[in-house]
Amino acid sequence: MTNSAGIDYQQLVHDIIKGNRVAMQEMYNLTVRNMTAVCTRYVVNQEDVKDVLQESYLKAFSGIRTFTPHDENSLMAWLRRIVVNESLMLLRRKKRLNLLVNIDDVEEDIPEPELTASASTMDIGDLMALIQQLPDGYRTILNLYAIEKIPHSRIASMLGISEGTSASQYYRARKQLAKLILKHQNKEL
Amino acid sequence: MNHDFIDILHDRLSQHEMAEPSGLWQEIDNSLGRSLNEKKSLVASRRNLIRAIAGAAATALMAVVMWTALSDESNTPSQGTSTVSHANEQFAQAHTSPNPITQDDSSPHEKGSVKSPSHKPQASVTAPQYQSQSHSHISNLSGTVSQVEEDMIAQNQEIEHSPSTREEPVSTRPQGVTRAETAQLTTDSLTEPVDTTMIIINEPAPPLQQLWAVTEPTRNKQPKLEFTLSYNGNLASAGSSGDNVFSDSSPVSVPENSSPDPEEPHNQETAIVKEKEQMVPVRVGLEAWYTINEKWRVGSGLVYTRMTRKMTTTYTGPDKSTWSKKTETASYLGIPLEVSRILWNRRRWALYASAGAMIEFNLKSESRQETQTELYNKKDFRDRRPQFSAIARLGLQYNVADRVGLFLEPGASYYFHNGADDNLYMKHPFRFDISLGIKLNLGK
Repeated sequence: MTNSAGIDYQQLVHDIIKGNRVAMQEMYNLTVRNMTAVCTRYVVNQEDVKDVLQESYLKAFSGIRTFTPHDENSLMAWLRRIVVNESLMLLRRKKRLNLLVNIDDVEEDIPEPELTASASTMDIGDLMALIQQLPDGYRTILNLYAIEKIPHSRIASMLGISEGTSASQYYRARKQLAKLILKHQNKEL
Repeated sequence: MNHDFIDILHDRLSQHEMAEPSGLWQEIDNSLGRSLNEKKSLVASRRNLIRAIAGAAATALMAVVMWTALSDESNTPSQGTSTVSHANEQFAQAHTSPNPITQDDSSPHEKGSVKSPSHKPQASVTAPQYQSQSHSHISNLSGTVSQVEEDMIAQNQEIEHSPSTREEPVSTRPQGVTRAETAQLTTDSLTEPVDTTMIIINEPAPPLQQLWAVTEPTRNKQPKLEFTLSYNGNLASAGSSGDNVFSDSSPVSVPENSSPDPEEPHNQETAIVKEKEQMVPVRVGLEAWYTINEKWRVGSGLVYTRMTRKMTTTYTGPDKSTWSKKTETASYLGIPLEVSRILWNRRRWALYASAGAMIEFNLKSESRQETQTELYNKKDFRDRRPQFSAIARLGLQYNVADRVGLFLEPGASYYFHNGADDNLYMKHPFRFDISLGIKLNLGK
């Protein structure tokens, strides 16, 4: 099965299973930039990002024998889940998943059109930076629900919290991010 | 705030790329090389450990076999043989001892009539008051007794060469049973009773007494040393530490309903989750059993156990269903110590009960998790603490040959908690199982 770039992913996976380092590096080159962006959304510290990516790729290379690639998208999705898992494990190990609800974080509603416009036009690097400013717990649930499309029931089981806590954390994270986006937009203006 | 804001975030960030950390691939490459070397060294170290254990077990086994063989050589069979020889010597001495009757020079008739070759028994004590009676009667008697004794000697020689009786100690029969009866018959022709008991008493115990042991009811003799090779299969298990089941130390669960297509909407409604567990333990063992006495035996050896536990979780939502599968495998090497008592033993069959304990060491424990989107997540949860268990069995053995027997042992085991959370034994600490195998008898 090949993609538009002419890469046979089945052969690539087959070579990786055999321990071909060239094939491993090729897979690394194809996916590392996207995986770095995924990891950076969860883990702020660059050294931690490097550790998570290293661990993720090692696990991917050792576990790829059970993976059947369909196309590039399936490989990326598979690898992304490994990176998300490793990111959450690091946050759990470092006890950064603070999910207590802070009543002071509650903000009034923000006008929708303004927020949507700001989110559509602002630089994506700036958007990433704003997400990284969120508290670890808020940022994690926002990423899992809004970006990874994981329902609150699964988020609750993954993080060991209740579904209600997951939903309320996401609500507050969204509020916080909206406030940061508008603040940033006002600064630019 | 509405759904559009979230969609914008998702659209912009899901495909976003960033420059990777510098030197990342070099570190990954180095780790790959290290992990390969670690795997090789780990395999080598485990191989060495297994070899060391096998060597120690073989050495212990050889020591026990040699000790058993040497102790058997200096025990009963040789004593029995020497006892038989000693009895024969006594018998021969009695035959060669001077006969007061025949040495009576006052009776030329007696001299001529009594035949007393050296191997024939002669009266070793003074004949009673009847000695003054006709010596011819006595000579006839001694001649008749000699004939009986010749038969006895012939039988003695036959018994002495018989292997079935060589091991049996020569027990003392009531003396002169056969001889007294024979003597009594031969004296019927005499006019006066002749006290032949004195003749009989001083005779050595004839080896014919060994026939007594031969005619005893047949019982299976317990061999000194036995070896068993067994295979054990699990019948049932009870007691679970929880069917919700993935070990606590496992990594964060994989999002099951995540789709490779980021555009596909998700559904947050409650889903049905079903879990199914399957656990298959397999055990093989090699044990040596030493017989203490007719009833009791003690045994030990090596037992290898491999357990595989599979958990399948099915997630059924309104729009789609997904699954995840977790496979946990664990290998143990155990050293049992058991005591066995024979309850019933006849011919080729034996019924016995055994009880004991076992200590096991976890060689390897690994969990592997897969989802419908084929995510692979592997974790090592080897438990370095020893695992203790109590064993009780009831066994039935059938000896197909002198040295080979087949056995069937239903039994139960209970595994004591050793403090480990990931221990597969703790999922079902109480187990019923059945063993079947072969017993080899190396003793005499």
